[in-house]
Amino acid sequence: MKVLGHLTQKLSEMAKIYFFMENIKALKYIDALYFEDEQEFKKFKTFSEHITIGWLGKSSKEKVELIFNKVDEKPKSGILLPVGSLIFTDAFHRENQNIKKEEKNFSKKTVGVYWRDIVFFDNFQIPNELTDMYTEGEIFSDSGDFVVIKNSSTIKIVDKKLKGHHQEKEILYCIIPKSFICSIEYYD
Amino acid sequence: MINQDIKKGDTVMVEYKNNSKLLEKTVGVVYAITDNYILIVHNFSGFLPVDQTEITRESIISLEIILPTEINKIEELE
Repeated sequence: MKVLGHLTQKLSEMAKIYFFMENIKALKYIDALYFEDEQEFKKFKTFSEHITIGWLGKSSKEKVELIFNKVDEKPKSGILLPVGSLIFTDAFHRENQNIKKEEKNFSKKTVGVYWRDIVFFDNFQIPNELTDMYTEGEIFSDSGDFVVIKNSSTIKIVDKKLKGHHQEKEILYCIIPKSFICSIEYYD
Repeated sequence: MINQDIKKGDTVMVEYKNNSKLLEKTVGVVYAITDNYILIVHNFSGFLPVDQTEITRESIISLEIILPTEINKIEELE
């Protein structure tokens, strides 16, 4: 019985080493949010926590690659995440309750926000970079860790050209985590 | 073929033959199990699956229940 226990422990240790070598990770992250309904926006309390599991691929100070599927050890599909999207602490959940939703804070200044978005990839088409995005609209709130843009439209920038995005049509509210943002231009 | 008992919610690594008969590997959470298929989810928004792989039982070569490492610090990515 003692031998069996020892063997089980050894196997468990070997499995841990094996999976460590496989470098399989679980990451929690946030994404930008879009609201088309005023009531839905008012009800919104906290960012959804996304969870993703995969093999850790290339990572840098800016981005992290997580691979979902491999064919003959070649990455086939996965996700490229901005490091700024990752949730590392519980403090995130406390702090992100403070998004200002009062109309009195609404300055109606027009802004253009350049930011970098999460990319899902498939069919071995691994992107080198995060997707560059541009959102224009009226700044509703920029306190805390998030920028809220009212009456917004968002487009994707591919090879320095503007391309359509699923949110290209006007959206009532767009919430972008500041950690995604590269620059903001104020037009008024 | 699955030699190990799995249940919904287990995190697994699966090796299987894909439609092109090539060896494919995937990791994720077991979201659904039927007589013919298992559904592995790689990405959840809240509790909703966002990205998943459906695998036929007969294509499975190996399946292991795993414990992925959760990253809690930026330094752990390096």
